[in-house]
Amino acid sequence: MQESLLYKRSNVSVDIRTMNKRNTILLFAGFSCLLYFGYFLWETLRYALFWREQQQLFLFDRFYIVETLFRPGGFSALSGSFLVQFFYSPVLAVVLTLILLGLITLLVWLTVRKMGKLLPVYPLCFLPALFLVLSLYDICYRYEAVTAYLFAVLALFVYSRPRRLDWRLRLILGSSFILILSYAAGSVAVLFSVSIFLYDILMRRDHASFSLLYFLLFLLVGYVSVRVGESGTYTYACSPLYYYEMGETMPYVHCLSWLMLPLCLLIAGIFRLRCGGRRLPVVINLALFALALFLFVGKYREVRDPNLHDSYRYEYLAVNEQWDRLVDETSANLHTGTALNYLNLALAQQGVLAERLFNYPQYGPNSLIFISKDKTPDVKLARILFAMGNMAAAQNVAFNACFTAGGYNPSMLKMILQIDLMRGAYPVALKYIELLEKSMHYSAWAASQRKYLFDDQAVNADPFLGTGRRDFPQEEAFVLSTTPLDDLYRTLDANPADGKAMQYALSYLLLSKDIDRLGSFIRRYYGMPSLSSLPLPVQEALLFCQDYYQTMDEEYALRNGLEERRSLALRLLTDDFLYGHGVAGETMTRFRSFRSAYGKARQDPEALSAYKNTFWYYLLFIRI
Amino acid sequence: MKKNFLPFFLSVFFFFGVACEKRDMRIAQETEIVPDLFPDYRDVTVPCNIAPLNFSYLGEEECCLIVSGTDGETLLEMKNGLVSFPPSFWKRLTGRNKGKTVELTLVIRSGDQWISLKPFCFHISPDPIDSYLSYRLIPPGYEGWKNMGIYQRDLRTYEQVPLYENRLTDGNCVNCHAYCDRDPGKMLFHARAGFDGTVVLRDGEAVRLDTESDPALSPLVYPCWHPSGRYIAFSVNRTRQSFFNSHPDRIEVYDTASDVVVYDLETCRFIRSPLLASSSVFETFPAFSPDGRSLYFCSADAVDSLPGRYADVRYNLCRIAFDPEGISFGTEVDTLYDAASEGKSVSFPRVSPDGRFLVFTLHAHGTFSIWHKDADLYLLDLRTNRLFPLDKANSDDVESYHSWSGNSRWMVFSSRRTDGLYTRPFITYIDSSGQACKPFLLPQKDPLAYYMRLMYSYNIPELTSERVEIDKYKISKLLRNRVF
Repeated sequence: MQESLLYKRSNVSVDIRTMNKRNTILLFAGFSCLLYFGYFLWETLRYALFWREQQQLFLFDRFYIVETLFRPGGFSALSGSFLVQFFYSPVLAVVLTLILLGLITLLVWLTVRKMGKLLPVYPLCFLPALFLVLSLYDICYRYEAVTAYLFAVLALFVYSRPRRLDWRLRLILGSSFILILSYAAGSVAVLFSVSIFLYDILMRRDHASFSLLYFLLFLLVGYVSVRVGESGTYTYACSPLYYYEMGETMPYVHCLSWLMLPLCLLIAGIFRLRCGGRRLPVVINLALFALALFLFVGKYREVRDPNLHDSYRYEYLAVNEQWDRLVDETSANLHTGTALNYLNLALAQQGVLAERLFNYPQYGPNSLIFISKDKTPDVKLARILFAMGNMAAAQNVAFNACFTAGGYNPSMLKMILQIDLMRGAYPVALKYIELLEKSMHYSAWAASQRKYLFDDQAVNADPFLGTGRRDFPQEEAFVLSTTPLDDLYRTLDANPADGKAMQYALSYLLLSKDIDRLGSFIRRYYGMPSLSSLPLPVQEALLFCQDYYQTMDEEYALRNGLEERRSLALRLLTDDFLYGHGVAGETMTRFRSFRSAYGKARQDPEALSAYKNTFWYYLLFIRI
Repeated sequence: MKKNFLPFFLSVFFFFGVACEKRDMRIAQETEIVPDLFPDYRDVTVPCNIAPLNFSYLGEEECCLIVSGTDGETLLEMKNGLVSFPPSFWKRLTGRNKGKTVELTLVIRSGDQWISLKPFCFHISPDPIDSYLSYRLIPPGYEGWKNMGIYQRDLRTYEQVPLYENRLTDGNCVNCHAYCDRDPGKMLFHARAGFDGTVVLRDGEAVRLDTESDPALSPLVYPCWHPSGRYIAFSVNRTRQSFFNSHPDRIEVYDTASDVVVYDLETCRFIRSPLLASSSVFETFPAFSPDGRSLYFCSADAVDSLPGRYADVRYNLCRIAFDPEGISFGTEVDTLYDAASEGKSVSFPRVSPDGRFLVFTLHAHGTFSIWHKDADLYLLDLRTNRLFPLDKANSDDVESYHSWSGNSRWMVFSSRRTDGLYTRPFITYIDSSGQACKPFLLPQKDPLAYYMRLMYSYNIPELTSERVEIDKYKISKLLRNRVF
């Protein structure tokens, strides 16, 4: 008897040891997967997560919290927004997202494990989180969808716990969860109701067929939500569309994560009911997992737009004023207008835009600033206009970018606030300061702006705000009604000391190949603090202009209506003028070499290769 | 026993709650220092049925408020500078002081002493205001938006409920809500930028006017119901906007063309007059007279080269006869006020329900007064033809859209005086001679916190006599062209 007891005990301890070992392996495998997954997120998602932070502002304000919390879907929205506020740091963004996804996976696994010894199904438990990541690449899919998903699987986990609960109590529990989830987390309750229905059926729980009532309950909730005007459509009330930006068409891919949870339960249930052999389930589940991975990779390519991701990265660097890095990153990837705009912005912020303009390929003034005809919120455009000193236009664009986002774009709000300080619109500036002070990350910055309120002297004395205030033109006009250059002229008229506006004006003249206006521009502004010396491309342009008009035949000029320009250029661009305005002898020598190389270019196409970084090359060979 | 003594106990409890422990407070000094309050409710005239006018003292000191009315003096405690009138106390105060003045004295602690600041008062008017106010809430932006909606506020309490929010129709634009003679059963509003159309609600029925296909009728903009409820006058405007580089007005919104038309809800046809649809004239802002026999509108000589010559566009106040039975317009247009000749421009004419006064917004040029800091309210006495500014209602900043109460004694209007950008509704009393009293900002439970954190402007404040009941589902279905 004692022997058999000992034997049993030893068997139990062997079982426990095996189980512990298996759990350790599972834990290790899960942790390794998560680490790899984290690396994957870091490489592919971190800037998109940062961008999310730039679309909202979580406020530590009683009214805001209560208001958000008590509206339908408010709890998931609030918790999502709370987490996203930390995404100003890509590291935190990835870590927090990983924790959420890890929790979802763990809860799915714990629920599946409750269904029986279903180790082979383990890999499938990663699928809901995996496919949620796909959705996160789409910025229109709100982050609260992830927190809502977490609440749904948490509720599922709790629901699956009691083994011997009376079926009536179980129904009450399930129904309560559906109602609570519907109100607190939105349409994810439909996922929950499907999951618990499947769970009950597959687990053959007592009176499982009654779980069909969950569907009816959810349909009723959806129906009421539409009828009372809480939701616009039934699709909105009962699908992931609930978490999608309104007015946008939601791609089908966002339904995948919602399919994966019931699929996982279904497969677990099937294996629970029909356990055939030990290897077959493993093989089947691994095959299914591989198939899902294959689908993931396919969809990943579909949803992740590399250009968009690049623009998130550039925006991250711009927000954090990492101009050197922005130059490096954009110059390595100059195949989009966005990259060029950001590159030139970074050069302008470093004060070397005109000097280094032709070190990079440029394609006309659009390389400096691109103004889309539609009214899409454009933070990049706001930044460029701000750097150009076109404060009114920047404020307009920033305002749109800020207030068309889900809940205020913080860096745009900062810009609007600074422009209002420059305008002397202090009561509005105070309003924005108080708003930003309620956030965690921007609070200190906002508080530091208080010293400028109602103090014109402090604003004027501040190098940044003072420059911006002086940028407002005296000559009244509408912004962007013609070209950005006209606005730049007015800005410089008002404030010739604005170095960035000067850089942009010179670059605009060069990129638009407007050599006629360049001479008079230089005559007017040369010697001012913002133009104490002429950037090399400007020297090149002046030399070219002088040479062009000097060699132009008088009759040709007359015939082509260029007489006036020619005489003006000849009168203005004398050698003395060039010397006097700092056109260096070195550049003149180089220009002579260029002319000679240009003469040989037909015979030797490589003759001009040394001049690709010059204005001359841009003028003659780049079509704009 | 319980029945008899419960009210007594409650009263005692309430009394001590309200009157706090400072009942034995002695005022050491009476000063003439004017208290710094938000909102500035000093010496305002308020309707007897308005929600409590809570306000904040902006100083740092500990403070409380002494309220002196018919029932004697009551001391109210202020938490963090905020005075919150208990609703029942406020109801009793306004109820028992109708037509009288209530004096308020703010007392602040200075060291160990209490000193009183210069007293001010609330004039409690016996004339009630219509109980509901509806408005659109929208960021004061320029071109973009995300969330917006038309909301309704019960003026007797602080309750605000949505009438229609754009999230039901994918974030489109909803605007220009209008009622027929403040009747909540007759309402309309426009929807644009997706699911377009004009929704007209009449006695429980909702119809959608879709005029997108007719360029002469699209888009319908500023509406005004005929008092009969059968006709609606609309302006048809081609509106543009441009942004100033440094002007404090920031934006100029202008029309490059506009006409006025009238829609007959019974025949579903538009009624037009060449006098209201001239290509050489911009006609806009239609408003029927209370008897329904005249149509007021604004008219300006058309200007080309816009926006360059934006400052040359000036609107006069005009009137044309309208025959509701014969469904026709008069043959001539009267110019009631030639504002252009005085270098001014008229917007938003609104006649008081008793037909005595016409209030409009006057500014230097153009049509979109909300972006004109010089815009002020002016009143034209239709009996005497006397025109004068509503000085007590006006401020240094914008005054714009306005709406009369049913008894012609109250007017709610938009103003940007609080911060220069975010439009807020103010309510002013208009006496029998047409003079305005100092207006008060729409009351809130904690107005300082509320208005400071509210990033939306109040747009088109319109009074209604009763609560508007809207079936949002029906409207959303109508706009979406959905079957169920």
